[in-house]
Formats: sequence, C-alpha cells, structure tokens
Amino acid sequence: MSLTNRWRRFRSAEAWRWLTMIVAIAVGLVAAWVHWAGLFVGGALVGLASATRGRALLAGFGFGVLVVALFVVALFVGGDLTQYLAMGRIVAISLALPPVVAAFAALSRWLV
Amino acid sequence: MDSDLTRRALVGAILAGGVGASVFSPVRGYLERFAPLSGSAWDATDRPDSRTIEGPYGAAEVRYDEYGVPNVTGESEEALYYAVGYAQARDRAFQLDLQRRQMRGELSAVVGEQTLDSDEFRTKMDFAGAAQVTWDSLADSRAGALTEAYTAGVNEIMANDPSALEFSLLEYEPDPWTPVDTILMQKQIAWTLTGSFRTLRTSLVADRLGGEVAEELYPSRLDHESPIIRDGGIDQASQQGSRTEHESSPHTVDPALADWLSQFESPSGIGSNSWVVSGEHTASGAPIVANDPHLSLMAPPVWYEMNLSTPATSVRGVTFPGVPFVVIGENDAGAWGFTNTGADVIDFYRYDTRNGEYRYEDEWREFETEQRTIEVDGGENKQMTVRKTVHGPVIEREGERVGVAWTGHTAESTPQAIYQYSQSEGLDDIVEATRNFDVPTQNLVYADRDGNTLYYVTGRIPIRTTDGEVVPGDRIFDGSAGEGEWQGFTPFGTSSWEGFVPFEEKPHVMNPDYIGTANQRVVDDPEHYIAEAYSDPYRGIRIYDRLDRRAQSDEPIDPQFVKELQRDTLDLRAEALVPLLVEIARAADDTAEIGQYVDALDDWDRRMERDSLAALLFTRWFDEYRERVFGPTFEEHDLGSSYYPNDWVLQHLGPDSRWFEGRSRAGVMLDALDAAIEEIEDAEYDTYGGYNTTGAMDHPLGLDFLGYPALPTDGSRATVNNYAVENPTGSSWRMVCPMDGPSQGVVPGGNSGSYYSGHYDDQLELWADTEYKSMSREIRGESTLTFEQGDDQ
Repeated sequence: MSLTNRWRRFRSAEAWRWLTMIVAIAVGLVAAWVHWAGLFVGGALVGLASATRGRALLAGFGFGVLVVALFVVALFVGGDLTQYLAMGRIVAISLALPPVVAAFAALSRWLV
Repeated sequence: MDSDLTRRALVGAILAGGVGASVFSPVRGYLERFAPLSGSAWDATDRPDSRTIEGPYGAAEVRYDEYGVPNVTGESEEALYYAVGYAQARDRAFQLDLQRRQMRGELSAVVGEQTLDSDEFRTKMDFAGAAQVTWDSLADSRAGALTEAYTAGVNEIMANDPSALEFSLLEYEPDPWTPVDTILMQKQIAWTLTGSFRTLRTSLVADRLGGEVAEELYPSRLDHESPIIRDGGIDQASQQGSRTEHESSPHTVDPALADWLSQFESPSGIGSNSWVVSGEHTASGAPIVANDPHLSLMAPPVWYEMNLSTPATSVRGVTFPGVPFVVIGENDAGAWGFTNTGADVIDFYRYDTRNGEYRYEDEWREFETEQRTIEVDGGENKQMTVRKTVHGPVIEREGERVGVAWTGHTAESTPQAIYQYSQSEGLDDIVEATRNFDVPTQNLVYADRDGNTLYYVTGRIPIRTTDGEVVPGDRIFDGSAGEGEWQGFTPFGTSSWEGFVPFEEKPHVMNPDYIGTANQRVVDDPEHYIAEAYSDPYRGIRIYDRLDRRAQSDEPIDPQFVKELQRDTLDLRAEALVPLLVEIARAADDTAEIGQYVDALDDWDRRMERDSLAALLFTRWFDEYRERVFGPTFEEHDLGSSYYPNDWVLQHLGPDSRWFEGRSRAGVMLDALDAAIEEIEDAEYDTYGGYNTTGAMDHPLGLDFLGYPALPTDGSRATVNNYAVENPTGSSWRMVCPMDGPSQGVVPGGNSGSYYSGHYDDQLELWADTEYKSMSREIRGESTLTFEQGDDQ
C-alpha cells in the first residue's frame, strides 16, 4: 500500500482524524510562533488532516483565523492592542496574511 | 490514475509556485515583518519587566519612574554611563541610528532616493570628518572614557537586540554605535543652532531686489529696546565698542545653489526662552532658573530625560539621544539652561579656479579631494567628490561652488564642557566648564544653591580680518584674495582659537538680579561683532516686561509665577496690528457679513488660547497678509516664501511702504481678512484649538500612527508659550528649577521612542496643557535593568 493510501485510510477513521487535526493545529501554531513559514506548515497540516477538499480549505482558513485570534489575545494581554489597531494598513496586512496563506497551503489536501 | 497524477502535479506546481513567490518576492518582506506571532514588527512588544545584564564596567541599576524616565545608579561613572547607553538605546535606538545616518549622509541607503540631496549635502560638508577629529582629541579625556562606556552600553542593544519597530518597517538592522557617532550627535545640534545660510540668502535677495530692499527686509538690527543685557546689568567688558553696520556683499552667489542650500539649515522657529532670577527678587530668597528650548517638535522628542546618580554625583535633566551627558538640567550645586545666541560662526568664500586648483593669495593650490559613494536603497549608488580648501569644505552644485568655514568643522571640546556641568560644584566650576564649550554659541543661564546667578555666551566666535582689518561676517568673501581670514582655525584639524573673541570679552553678566534670553539681540553695542541678525524680539520683550513689572511690584517671584510666564500666550504681533485691522474693517462698507469676526477680534485679549476664535482668525490673517504683501514681488523675482522677512519687519511696514505701491495697506489687510475667514470656514475650524494641535508633530517616517494625537494647545510662534504648528517647532523641554524647592519639567510627547510603550506619549497632554511633572533627583521606580560585572571581564 502506498503512503498516500495509508494516509487516506488513517484519515477515514474519524477519531484518528480529529486527533491528527489537533496535533496539526498544535504543531502549526508552534511553528507559526517561531517563523512565518509556520503559517504554511500549519495550513498544510490541517489541510492534510481534513476529510474532504472543501473542508481542507475551511480548515486552512480556520487555522489562519485561529492564529490571528491568538495574536490579538496576546496583544491584549500584553497591553499593546490599542497601539496595534492604530497601525492602519499594517493591521489589514497582518490580519489577512494568516487566513490567506494557511488556506493556500491547505491545497496540500489535493495531493493525497 | 493519470488524472490523479495530473491533479497532483498541478496542485504541487501551484503550491510550489506560491511558496516560491512568498520566498522570492516582496511578499516575503510582509511575512517577515507582519506575520502575526512571528513578525519582526512585534518584537518591540516583547519587553521583559526586568532583566539582568552582564557588562564590563561594574554594578549599575536602571529604574523607570512613572513617566518612563530612567533613574540610573552606578557604583562608578563608567558603570553609570554604560547603563545610560543601554537605556537610551533601549528607548530610542532608531532615533540614534536615523540621526547618525542623516549626519553621515547615509539615509538613502535605507530610505531610497528621496533623501539623496540631504546625503549629498552632508557628505560634502563632511560632518563625519569633523566628528572624527574631535573624537581623536577627546578620546584620552575623562569625557572620552565615559563616552566609550556609554558606547558599549548602546551596543548591547544595537548589536544584540535592535527591536525598534522602525528597523522592521525599513527592513534593516543598525551597525554598531561608535564614540564618533556620539560626537556626530553634538555636531548635529551645533549645526541646527548655528548652520545658517542667511549670508547667501541675503546676497541673493540683494541681487534680485536691490541692496536697499535687502537692507530693509533683513536689517542687522531690529528696532526694539529689549536686548538680553540691558543698562545697569552689563558687564563692563561687554559695553565697549560699537556695533557693525551691515554691508552688502560685493560677491554674488548662484541662486540655484543658495536655494538648494537653504533646505539644509534650521527650520524657522528654532530658538528658546530662559531666565534666571536671583534671590533678590524671589519669595524664598533663593534663585530660580527657567528654560524652554525651542526646537523641532516630533515623535519621539528631540530630548531624552535622565536622572543619574553615583556615590559622588547626582544630576537630572535632558540630553540628546546619542549623547551620554545631561545637557540641560540640575545637580547638587545648581541648575543650568541654554538658548541660542545666533552668533555668526559660519562664513562663505568664492574662489578663482583652474583645472582642479583654486587660488589662495599668491599661489594656486589643489583642492583636497576625496571620492565618496552614497548608497541608495532600490536605486543606483551615487559617486561624489568631496573637496576642501584652507577654509573648509566646498559645496558644489551643477558647476557652482561656495567655500564654507564653520566653527564646528574642527576638533573641539564641547563634550568635555557638558560633562563638567554635571560635575560642577558651583559658579566657578560652571565658568571653567564654559571655557571648553566651543560650539554652538549659546546663552547660558545658571544659578547655584549658594545664591549665585550667571549669564554667559558660550562658543567660539570668530574675528574675521581682511588685509588686517576686522570685518563682520555678513558677506561672501573672496577666498582667493585672502578676505575673511580666521586666525587660529584649522578645519578638520586642531584649532588654537587664538584669533577668536577671548573668553573674557564675550558678553556675560556675573550675578545679575535677573536676566531673560529669547534669541533677541545680546547687547546693544558689543565689543566684537556677534551676529548678522537676531530672532524676532516678541518673546524677549514680553519676558522682560513681565519680569520687570513683577520685580517692581510688592509681590516676589516664585515658581508659580515662573510657570505662568512660561504659559504666557500674549501675542505682541496681535497687540500691534489687531486694533488697526479692526479699525480698517469697521471703516469698510462691506463688512456686514464678517461682523461677527470683527467683533471677535475687537473683544479679544490678544492671547493665543485654544478656545479663542479671534486667535484662530488672527493667525490665519497674519499669514495671509504676509503672503499678500510679499508674495507678488518675490514670485516675480523667482523667490519663494522662505525668503520673506521676519514678522517684526512685516508688522512695522507703514501705509506708505514700497510694498503697498499700487495698493493700499488697508485694502491688503482686508483682502487677507476675507481670505482668512474663507479658509477657516472651509476647514470648519471653530476655535484656535481646532487648528493649533499637537497632531502636527510627526514621526520622521511620516506614518500617521507613529505621530502624536491631535490635542488642542495654546501659543504661537511669537508667544512665550511657544508653538509654531505650521512648522512644528516650539518648547521642546520646559524646566523650572528653584534652588530651594522641587524642580519640574515636561517634554512634548514621551520619554520612550518605542511605539508600544506606555511612555511613548504620556507627557503629551501635560505639555499641551502647559503642566509639569516632577524632576526630582530622588531615585524612584521599579528596578528594571540590573547590570553586573561580567565573569570574563
């Protein structure tokens, strides 16, 4: 059995799929905290863990939104949210980057 | 299977293409800087509450008080200034690097072609060369040793933790700091305060409009009776001699070159207020020092406040980022402040030239030349030739050239003087330190806790000679003929200063009862030529008027009065012109529609207060009037508004002035009033505070979010409470130091240059409301940075 088929079979078991998704999100978040390439890694991993291609795109987008949410919470806790929200175009860029990049990376679901 | 392979290949190609585009395109820059969680733009949000740093100079500690002012203690001065360097770079790293780049002519390397002119000018002026020779002469001094310690502290941040947001926005990391960079910062402020091309501009206006007009527009002496040193308080050494008369230059200057150079001198509005009042006139019997230097207002401020302490010394005040020592402030013994004297310490020369040589007296000499490259981010690097003569650098532009001699272009010992101020134990020490204060020329005011007061002009003032005769410096000299020589001056070397005004002969007053300085004429009849001209005297007149009245009253002067004087918003331009304007407006037949505005002007107390409609109307009217008086003629002769004369000259134009030929003064005034009203209504301003806001204080990068919020404030360019919103300059630091009570101060903005810091703009509202905060020398605040002796040191 090819590696692709093994992964498909593994993913078809719902419990394993959810576990894989959680691990993918965790790995992706840690990677995104360390380097911007983590947005690609996280998006690709949650895409691969998704049941369907449509859900993969949603999962990638959702991962990006989660990154943004975590970022905003971190700024709020650190007392920097007000200054961040005043940054104009930079805010728009930083909010758009994770969902777009992660959803794009979730196209990896089309590979397997 | 084939379709699977095709799909995978296609998707794989898309993914690879997307990743590749991210890595090898500008998208990568956005990701590196702004990706949430990991982007470098967010590094500056991660500031640990406390940190221990191992350093080479021993134990020190930095506590930040409630306004982010570092309260620094050190077991030795070396340990102290190492911590000072660290704290300054932690709070202002980008400002340090930007200023250094500007002075070195290296801005274009990070911001692109838009700063190429600035880089070209500063490269040709070779400020860096002047800083190098100054450092060479200072390195072995005590100030030099402490500058080395400071530099090491700066580099703990510059080299290891350059997290300032601006570095991320511009996508570069700073080079290590050097002691020469610190000297460059001092050269920068010296240039800001003394680097004037007035001689060239006056010469150009004389060429275009005639010498008589130039003399009228740019008089060397303004007609007022309020010099800094007045009758009764003048040191005898300063009373002798007579003033020099302005003479038009026989040598002209290329207009394009003069225009080009004018952009590199100080913005209009650079000035300051200070006064010192002896115990004779104070409620407590102890002197009071007040100072508010007027410099460019921007985010972050030009000043950085520090409270420094060692077992032997305690000093608090402000310094320029990049400079270790307190420049204006207070120590155990006394307090000191500065305003700009405006002395003429720069001259200009033309030369006969041939084939790369210039004639100097009887011989042809080769220019001292050096090839330099200006790096340009995203553009083509520019090659440039730096030329120098016996007088100093040569500025060339499109085939035209002018030689420059400036007192800052030599080794000088001002950093030593500034360090000595911190160490001073009274009046005698201050006078001795001032001997070392070579550039810039400043009005020093000082008081000590023994009750002494002092006024002294700092800085080296050249005595020019042509054929052995002393001449003023308000003309372009024929450098080939040996005109305008400065004896004892060696550009880019070490000067003996032997031909300069002797220290004892510079204007000064020992123990004045009170003395006020606001960039006006220093003294009516100086023994030596001091300056081509001085600032508008409005602030100086008002300060002396209030000090005189208070001193002659039964009420003694106290810190509250001194603060009220710093808050003074009476505009003497309005005092002089508004009654006339109202009279003209009332006499006109068609003023029914503007009646409410005329009534407002009539009822107005002439104070530039934020809630005043009349103040708003006056400030817009004045500028419209100025434009209507001078604009047509200047435009006809291809001269921009930067060549207009100062406000005092405009105010005193009578109805028969040549500037109203073919028009009536009343008509011009009314036209200006109509235009001002239209402007106000179009902009929907209701009061002066809607126009006169702190929003004009921008960050050098021009990004809105880095600038300051628009808080309404008071004051104009002519009031003691000084704020020129049209070209944001004004009170860059306000300080009141009673010798027997708590001192106070405030900066326009905040002490931190870190955008995410709570101290980025936490003093702005205080400043806008002319309020103060403590500048106590008690060490306060939570311990944030602890410095320990490193194991390997």
